[in-house]
Amino acid sequence: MNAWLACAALLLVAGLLPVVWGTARGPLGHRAMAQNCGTSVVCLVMLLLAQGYGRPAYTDLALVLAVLGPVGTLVFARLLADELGEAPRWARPATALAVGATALVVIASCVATGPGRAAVKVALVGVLLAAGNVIASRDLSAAHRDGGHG
Amino acid sequence: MAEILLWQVALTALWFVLISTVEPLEVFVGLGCALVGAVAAVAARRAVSGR
Amino acid sequence: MTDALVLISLFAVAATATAAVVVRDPARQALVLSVLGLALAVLFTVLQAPDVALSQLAVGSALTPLLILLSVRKVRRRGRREEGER
Repeated sequence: MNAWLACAALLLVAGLLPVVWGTARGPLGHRAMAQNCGTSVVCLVMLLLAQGYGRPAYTDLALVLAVLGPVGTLVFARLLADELGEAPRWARPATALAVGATALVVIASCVATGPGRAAVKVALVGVLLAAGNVIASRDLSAAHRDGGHG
Repeated sequence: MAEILLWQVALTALWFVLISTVEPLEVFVGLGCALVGAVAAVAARRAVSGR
Repeated sequence: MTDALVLISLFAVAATATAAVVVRDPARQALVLSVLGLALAVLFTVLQAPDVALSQLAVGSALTPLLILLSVRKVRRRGRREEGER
């Protein structure tokens, strides 16, 4: 029994299931935003698992996801621009929640690893994830306003 | 030239954050990769700003 | 605890895969598919196979949606052109 793993399990249940629900139904814009939140949830789960199993190498998974996840969402924003429709009302709160959760998990992981290169790496993953989430979410909202361009 | 050097320093710092063990070979490989990345970054910036 | 994690991620994979089958429109399926990739990556990590999870993330998060969306767009465009010719 490990507090990190318990947090990861909790985050999986509380985060991934709403994301699956959100991507499976509703207007296309809502689904894309839910997928964007899914990237954040899973990336944080990876960070928690890396701490829980005591394997710093697992942080690489979070790093790859923090870089490629927003890229995937941007692909959707560009290629589905003319069908995306309005961004959901919960887009802003969801993004704020994701950034807040990212800050919480990253700070906790950094404190647990102690000062050093590993902590800087975790912080880098957190910054990339938060920035990617905000950029992708903004792009999803802007794609509707500008209409299709491509 | 200074721009390439700046990029190389930044990319080498990034390399040091991401690798697991610091040893001499890693330093040399990191410097080399950072140089390649720096040249590519400068070329990309010129291509974008020259548009 | 690890068993609970495995069970949770297995359930998440099953739920997402079912959703991917139930959703009918290919563009929407691509969205569900990318979430399925995320769930699979978690499952692989929980089963202590981070290398498999890494390749799953590398391919599933950006490349697969891009391929599917490009194919859908091409098929739709061709369909529209044939309709115009008729």
